[in-house]
Amino acid sequence: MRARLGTSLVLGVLLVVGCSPSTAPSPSVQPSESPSDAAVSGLPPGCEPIELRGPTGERIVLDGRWVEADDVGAPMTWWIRTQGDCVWGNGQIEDVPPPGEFGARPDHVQSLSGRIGLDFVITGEILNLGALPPGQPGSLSPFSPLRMIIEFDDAGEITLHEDREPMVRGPRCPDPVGYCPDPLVLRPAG
Amino acid sequence: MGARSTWLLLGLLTLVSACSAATSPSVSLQPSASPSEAAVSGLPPGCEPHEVRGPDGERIDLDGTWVEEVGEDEAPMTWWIRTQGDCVWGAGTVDDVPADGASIPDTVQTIRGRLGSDLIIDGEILRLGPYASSDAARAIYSPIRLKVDFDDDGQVVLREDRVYGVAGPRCGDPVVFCIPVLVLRPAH
Repeated sequence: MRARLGTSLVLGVLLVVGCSPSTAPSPSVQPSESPSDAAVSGLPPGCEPIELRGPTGERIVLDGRWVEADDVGAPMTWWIRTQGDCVWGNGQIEDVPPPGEFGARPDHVQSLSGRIGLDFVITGEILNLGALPPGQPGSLSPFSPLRMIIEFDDAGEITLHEDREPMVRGPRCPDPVGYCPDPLVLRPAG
Repeated sequence: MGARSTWLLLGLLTLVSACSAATSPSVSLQPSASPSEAAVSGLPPGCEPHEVRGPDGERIDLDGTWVEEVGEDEAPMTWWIRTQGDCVWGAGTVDDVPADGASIPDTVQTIRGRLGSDLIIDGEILRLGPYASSDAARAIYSPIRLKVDFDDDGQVVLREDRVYGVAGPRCGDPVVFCIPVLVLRPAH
């Protein structure tokens, strides 16, 4: 029964990929699972099976290591893990200063989480976990909502691209002059 | 007569309008706060103000760098924790995370949860680090309960509320695979 439900869900997902979000089935109408049910199904509570395929039909797997160059050029490494349509990630600059010196930038360590939609958009949140020096730019909002688009470049390589214009004021860019990180762009490492 | 009808109509409209105003909008019918509105309030959506106080009444700030308590032969993980009201996020890594393809999923982890008035963070922990497909059965995701505790010196400790060796989500098989109880101390 569970296998049949899972198969139906996957088939449903495959059928509606490409439809607008408004036509996609709402997760809220799916049977909810108790934590114990979720453990049996292998997915955390609240996460639903999903399968997205790239331009050539290959299954998209986001799990693994990704790299980013932030707005001052310090390379960041991100580790991403999906469980069904739920996604989590940790990012940090490659050379984190010792704790006593750590704190020049709150975004030295970041965390994200969200849900992957059938429209290839990850909708979630991003947190700056690094120290927040009082009064420094960036202390305004350690938390921000986040939208990342799963995209493919001309070479067919997958990228995760934040759905935001650079230097435009918003939750991730509270002050375009004082503190406005570039849109997050992640590429698979190696 | 026409004027009287007009006044009657106006009166009815006023009455309907007043009734409508009186019966509308409980708080739940108001539009929920947008993310930008929540940012203005200073807390992310869904997070509530919360203040942790220690045994001596001093305010405890969980934000910052923490170090995992591990055995002698193990590499301690550094954890960065951020609270926003009663919401808690954390990212933990070892100093040298192996490259993709290695099979050590514990080297990068993330936590998310809510801090209750009982000083317990109730949430989830994910192992993000590199893993082989054979690791898939080893619960990448687990629920977790972390207690904000204080040692004899009054120093704050984050201690997983679980007994090592007892089967559960974080200890799928006490003999084969049982993650040690997570204990974090502030990095100084």
